[in-house]
Amino acid sequence: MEINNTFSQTSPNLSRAIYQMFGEGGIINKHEYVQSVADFKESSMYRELVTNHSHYEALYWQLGYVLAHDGEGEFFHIKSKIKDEEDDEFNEAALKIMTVLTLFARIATQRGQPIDLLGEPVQGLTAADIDTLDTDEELQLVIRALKFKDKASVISMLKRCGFIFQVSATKYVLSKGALSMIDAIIEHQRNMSDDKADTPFDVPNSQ
Amino acid sequence: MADLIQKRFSTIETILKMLNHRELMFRAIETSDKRQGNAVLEAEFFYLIANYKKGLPSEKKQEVNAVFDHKNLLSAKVLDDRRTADGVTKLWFNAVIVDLFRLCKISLYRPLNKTSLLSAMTPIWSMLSDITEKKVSLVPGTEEYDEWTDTLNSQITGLLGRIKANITKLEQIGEQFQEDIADQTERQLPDAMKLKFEHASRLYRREVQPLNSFLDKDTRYEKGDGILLAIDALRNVFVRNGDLEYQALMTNYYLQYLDLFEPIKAVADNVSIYLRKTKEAIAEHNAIESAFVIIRQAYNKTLSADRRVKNIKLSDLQDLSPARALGKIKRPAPIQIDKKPAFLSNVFNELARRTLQNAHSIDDKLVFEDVIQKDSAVAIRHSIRLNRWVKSHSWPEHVDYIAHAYEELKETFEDFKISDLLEISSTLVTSKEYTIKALPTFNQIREEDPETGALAEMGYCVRHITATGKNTEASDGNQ
Repeated sequence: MEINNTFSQTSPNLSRAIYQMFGEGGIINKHEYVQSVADFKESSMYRELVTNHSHYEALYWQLGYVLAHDGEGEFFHIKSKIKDEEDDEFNEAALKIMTVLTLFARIATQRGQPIDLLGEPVQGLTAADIDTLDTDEELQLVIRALKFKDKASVISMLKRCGFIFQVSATKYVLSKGALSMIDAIIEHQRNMSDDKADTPFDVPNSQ
Repeated sequence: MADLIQKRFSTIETILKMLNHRELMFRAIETSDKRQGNAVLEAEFFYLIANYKKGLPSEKKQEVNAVFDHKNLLSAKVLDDRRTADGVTKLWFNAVIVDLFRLCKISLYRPLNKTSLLSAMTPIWSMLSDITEKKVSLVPGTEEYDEWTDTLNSQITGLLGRIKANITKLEQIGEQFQEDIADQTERQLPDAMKLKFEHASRLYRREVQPLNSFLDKDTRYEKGDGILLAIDALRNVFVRNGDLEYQALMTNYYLQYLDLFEPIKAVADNVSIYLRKTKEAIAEHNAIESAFVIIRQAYNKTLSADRRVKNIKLSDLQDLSPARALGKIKRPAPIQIDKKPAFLSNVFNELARRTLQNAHSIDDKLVFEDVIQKDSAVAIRHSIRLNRWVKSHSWPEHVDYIAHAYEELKETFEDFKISDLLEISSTLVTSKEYTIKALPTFNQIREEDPETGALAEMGYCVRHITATGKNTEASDGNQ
């Protein structure tokens, strides 16, 4: 039987970086913000996963995971093949991230800012937004109760896992993956509260 | 000054002075519009005057008192009537004077809602039915015909003027909404956004949408045709009657009304887009607030359950969005030894023994040879060799089998010890190939170690064995 060695076609460095990212519980976004060009560029890890998709799919399958792609958020992530593990441990990381993203989304909506702007480098997540995690007593308590030491550890975790990118010394921008997770939260909450029915005024269709 | 208070002004003087203090009239009209009536409550009017006078020089205050005194307003025909009913006095201002002030401030144009549009159409429908039912003479030049056409003209132009004025007002409002749509970076605070959304929604429903439909050329109402179809019908009447002047006039009106459709459509589009976007923004805000409530409840629940527990139970956050699950590669956990070395030693010895039992040669390397003690390995090999001998030996029946074994092994079996007889006896007792019969005879075996001179002694009850005929080794296939 002939066995194709697909390892020779892949980049060992990128493969290591991808493994490290998944080991941190992170996601691999299609686009990542590159400070040197001050713009979003296609991620080399994402390209590597797309180019050698069958190899990585088989590799992570054998390790006990499913390599999944989120079309809306344009990112790769892994899911455990074992249901119990996914329920117990894996969702914890996701829930922690979703909670923190909810807090940032709320900071934006509270001042009447569209959430999408958190993904725009010109606006993004400002130093003032991040400081709110410390200055707002309730948010501070929630952050501590989520086992974060301080606001810096929150930012560090989001950055490490590919949910935010650094734009400047004090400014960050949310990745598309992060925004899609916020969208999922909004969609879920709208469905839960049946928001459409609660709206006091019908929105007309212009003729 | 006392003379000024008593003074009565003429109609023109009163109107001119009222225009000087037009803000007061604007407020009075606004108050009246809020009550959706044509009259102003006298008490409210007094209150408005008192408020307006604050900060004015005393001379101006006196002038306001004199001009807006109800007796002066009545004598100047600015007030049509002042009536008291159920203890409430109302001032009925002259409609023409009020309309004059409405012209000075665009926001005071009476809103044209569906009801007012239909009531404006009622006289036109009535005049059309006069013709169809032949209630009026259609002979041009007759007094009745002239009166009919004048009234028709007045109705159509009056409505046209009101609609134009309202569209101008709505266009100004629409521009504000358009600016809001364009400027995505600066949204209002959620509460203000909700209020503005409410206002825009009401405006759209009450004024924009009815007017948009009213000016559509194909609109028909339950009571009759819309304005454009009605004007077209009237034009046909004048065509049939050969009145070219009114035929041209109707065509002109038709085009003027038609021209108003595009602006109101633009306003409708702007308000509609604003409403749609604002609704999305409000929904987004509400959804995030709901999500935050879940976080807050999870935090409160954790703390209330046990004050010592400071961390949120993450399962309480599952309602945020259960659809997403992000994986994380698990690293293998290090092996934890929680057994004592003696226990582990026994385990490995047993494993080694079981492995060796199935080995072809007694000298095969044990699987766990590296982890068990050397003495243990020697003992295991000795024990297994002994057991193999017991199983392969032909045991004589009706003899003391322990003495027999001793005699057989003491010279020939390597490293044989008296204690090995116990293991032999134990193996035979548990074997299904033999039955054991104990005799009431006691025997003793003694042996002195030739090197150390130590004496080994074993006392036992004499036993005989009898073969049962069952060969377990053969059935197991382990020979």
